[in-house]
Amino acid sequence: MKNFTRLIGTLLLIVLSSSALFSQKKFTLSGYVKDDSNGESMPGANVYISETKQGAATNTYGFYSLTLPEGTYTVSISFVGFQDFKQTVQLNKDTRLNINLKTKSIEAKEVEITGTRIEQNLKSTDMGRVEVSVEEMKKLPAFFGEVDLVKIVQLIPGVKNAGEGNTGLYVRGGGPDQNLVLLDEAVVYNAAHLLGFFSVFNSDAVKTVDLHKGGMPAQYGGRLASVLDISMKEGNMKKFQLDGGIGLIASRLTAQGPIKKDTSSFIISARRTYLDVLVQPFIRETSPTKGSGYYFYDLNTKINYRLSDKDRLFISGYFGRDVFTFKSTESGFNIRIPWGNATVSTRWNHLFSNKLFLNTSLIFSDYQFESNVEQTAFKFNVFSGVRDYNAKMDFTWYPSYRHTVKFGANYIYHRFTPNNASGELVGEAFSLGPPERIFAHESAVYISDDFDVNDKLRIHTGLRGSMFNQVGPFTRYLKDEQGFTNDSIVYDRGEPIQTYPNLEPRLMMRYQLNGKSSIKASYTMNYQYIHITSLANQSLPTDLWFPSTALVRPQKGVQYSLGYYRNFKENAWEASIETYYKTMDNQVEFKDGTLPSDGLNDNVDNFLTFGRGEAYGAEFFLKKSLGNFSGWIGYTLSWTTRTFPELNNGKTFYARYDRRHDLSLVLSYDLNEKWTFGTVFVYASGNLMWLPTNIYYFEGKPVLQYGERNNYRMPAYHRWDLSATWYTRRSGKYRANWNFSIYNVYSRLNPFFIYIDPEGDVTEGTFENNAKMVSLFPIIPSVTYNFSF
Amino acid sequence: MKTRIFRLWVAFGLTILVFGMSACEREIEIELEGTEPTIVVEGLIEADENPRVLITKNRGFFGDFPTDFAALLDTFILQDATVSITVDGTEYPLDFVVNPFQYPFAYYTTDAFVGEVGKSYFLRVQALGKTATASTKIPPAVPIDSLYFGLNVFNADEDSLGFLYVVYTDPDTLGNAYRLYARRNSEPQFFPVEGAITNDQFINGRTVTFFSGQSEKPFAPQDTFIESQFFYTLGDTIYMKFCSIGSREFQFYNTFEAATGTNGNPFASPILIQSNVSGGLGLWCGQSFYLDTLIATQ
Repeated sequence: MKNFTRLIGTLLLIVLSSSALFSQKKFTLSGYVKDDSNGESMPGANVYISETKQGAATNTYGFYSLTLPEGTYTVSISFVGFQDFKQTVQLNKDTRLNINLKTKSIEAKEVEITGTRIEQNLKSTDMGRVEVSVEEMKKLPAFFGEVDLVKIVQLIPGVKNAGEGNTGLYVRGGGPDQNLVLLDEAVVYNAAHLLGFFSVFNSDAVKTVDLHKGGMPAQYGGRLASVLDISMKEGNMKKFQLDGGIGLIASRLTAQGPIKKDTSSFIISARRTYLDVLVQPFIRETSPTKGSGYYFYDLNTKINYRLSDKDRLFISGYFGRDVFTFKSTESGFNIRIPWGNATVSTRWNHLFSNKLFLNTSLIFSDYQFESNVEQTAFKFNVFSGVRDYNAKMDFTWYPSYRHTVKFGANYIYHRFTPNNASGELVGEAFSLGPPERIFAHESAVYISDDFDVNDKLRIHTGLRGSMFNQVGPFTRYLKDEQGFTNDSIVYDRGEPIQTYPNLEPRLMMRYQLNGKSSIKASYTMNYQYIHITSLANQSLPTDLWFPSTALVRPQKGVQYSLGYYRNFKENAWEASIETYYKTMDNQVEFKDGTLPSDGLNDNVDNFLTFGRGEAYGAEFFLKKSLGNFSGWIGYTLSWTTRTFPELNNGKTFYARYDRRHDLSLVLSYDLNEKWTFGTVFVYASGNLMWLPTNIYYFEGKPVLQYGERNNYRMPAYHRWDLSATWYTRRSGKYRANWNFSIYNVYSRLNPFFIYIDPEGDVTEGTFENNAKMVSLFPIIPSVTYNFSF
Repeated sequence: MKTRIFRLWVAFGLTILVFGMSACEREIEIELEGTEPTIVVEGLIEADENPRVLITKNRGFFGDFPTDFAALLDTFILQDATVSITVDGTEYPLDFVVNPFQYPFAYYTTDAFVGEVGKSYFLRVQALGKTATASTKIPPAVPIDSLYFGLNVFNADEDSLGFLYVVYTDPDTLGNAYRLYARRNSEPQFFPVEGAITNDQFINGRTVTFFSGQSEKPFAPQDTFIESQFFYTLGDTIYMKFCSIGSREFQFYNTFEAATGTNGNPFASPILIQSNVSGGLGLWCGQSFYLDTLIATQ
């Protein structure tokens, strides 16, 4: 800890001394950038000073601050899809300049390429960071007509999906638990509806999507692979607005408006699937499964209040549930399985001065899974989940125009509920052990500095100190040599059990070669204290999060990346090549021979084994974001392996989601004011599976013998989607459009999974070992009607 | 049993979900090279009985199976293995015998000795140019307290089918494990009951009741469930054999049952069977047993 304080001290000293070097009289230009049409703040807008060729981007809340020597400057603000703003400022005192950007009209798009637009991708030290505009997403083909931002994120090089229709993210060789998914800063523990076919994010309620897949800045931590930072809309500050969409399987409705004009606003957005309701009339009263069904819904809401010019308050919440029911009148069998997330974030922005910005957040986040099975004389209930209470303070300090310093602290109180079960048999309750809960504190402090050493070199240095403490109550079951539980240690409430303190250095550098190209390099170290591992082949809502304990050490990730970035045609085209090499220590898997029942009356971690992961690859990206014709093409060549001393005889094996080739093509074209077209094409090497290679008989039963782990690669995945959006009314009070999508145009039957089914009677000679490939979605056309007034 | 139901509904529910959604399933050809043939041991040494060791080999998983049962057995059973058991420092060779009327049809045995509680038996098998070895010990038998018959509680309307309930008291030392065998009415041979494998990890020293169905016959067709072959019926004569086994042997049966129980389940991940044979697969198991009989009445 002493070293840590010293390091932070040194960092601060560097920042202070370098700003003192330029002792000319300086003033600060600061303010908020907002969308003129609805008053929403605009994060990531470019602020550019022509005279000094200096630029900055607004923070998450649309705030910027630049400290410059006294003088006259031309300030340009730009944001894709908005008209550039330009103003001359006489800077002889600290100046507040709040800017409202106006939306571009459709016709003006072609001519809007100005020389002042700064090339954020060339200038920033960010590596592996991609922002995707929600408006752009809506032009693209949508699966069952539901715009899904996670599915669009999966089209970015370096990001992979788990398979057909799945919203699980596998970033640069990492597992699905290694992504920090944030919705207004609240952790979303399971971002998937319906086995992952839809994400929990309702596109109508979302403002920005920001993905960090490499070079994670120090303000983020707790996961190895990526951060998917999603911000909800704040609500229209100017006027009341109603948006909605009617689709094939779900409908959405969003209401937003000012509570007090230009001071406070609200937004409330709801979505529900209604397949269960639609099919009800077609199910006969006498159907043996009447009453079975599935639906999910989401509710997003947010209120924001501008308390003063310096203070702003945001309260946002999310609540979503999936509910699966199955009823069989014949057998008296009844199943009801609800699961879902709930989050609440309260955030307060405060400007101490035009150089110091603070955001304080209090966050609650919860994921629950439950299942109730009932039969005539028998009841069975299983529940599990994770709940967090989180407090955060994040400062942004703009000491001089060469530095942006971020520092802050974060504390989370975790409560994990691994599988707990209870039941009733013929009216008599039985318990499968006492409910087990695991409690832990996770805390972190960080500081980072973006330092423009000169016009060409920018260095981002960051340091994050993180700590994880597992505390009581807890019962540790101890084992003898034969693996029998022969003793246990009981910890009292709050009693410390295990502490893991760690330092996570982050370093990123950008060197600008010329106005058109730059190279960047980064080194990041991350620790992850909570984990998922699954016994099943697929990600399921039953997958449990569990914390680091005395046996489960934190995962440690180190990533090196190197990239070359180049823009063409006045920045209309952006191209990049990024390469990465990553090591992941203390990766978690179940031991060979672990059975789903082994966790009962025992600690789950007694069945885990630990190993190391390695991943490397190259990502090629070409993007066009200006003009009527926009989109990108991304290609990834990658490898990812795992080595566990206790698995696969200690031999290194490829991870299940090791994917050699991954190609995505995303295009949209604005034909005219009425029509926009979109298309997506993806090609990816198949996922790996672990299949049996041999068979033998024991006690007359066929026994499958598995070869090396992940010994079979499924056939390649490819798919082509098309969409057309027809704007029946694009301006005026009532606006509407029809979105027509075709998913999987050439109806490719992509592999979802393969399973082995020994069938038949061996004594009759009808025995067969069948390998069956299950594909989910053939061609699926869909139509959605969207409106806004 | 409870975890089984838990697994059952997960697989069940998800299957409905997935297949309800325009899923399409088709058979595909997979070419994966099998490993070199490996020795598979299925050996039993029971108290007061001669050893009985079936030696087979594995074969490639994919590809056609002989349609003739006898020919199929031929492709698995190893007839020319060199098999021996060492006990008390003496090595006894085993002879190959064929008995088509009783499972396992063909096996290696000797009448030079019978199993004794507390003794260790070392098995050596040479075949396929390889050597497989294993060691097992016969634990003392544990008597049962009582037996009774009960109607199937999972179906309130049931009036004739039911389970056999077994009550026993686990000795106070940790590390006991049990496997139940049964036969019914005129059935000639005891076979193990599926799922009736347990140890004393959670019940050490306690009196325990568990219920079970009929034994499972070797080479029973896969993927079929016939009520009358699973439950006992009122009036049945039930013979049971309550076997005591060692911990490693328990590990094997427990993972073996889980692995064969998930055959054909698309959501299950591979379960690796914990064998006690080095240089081969399968199990060399020493066991002692306690016998009892019950006529199923209410």
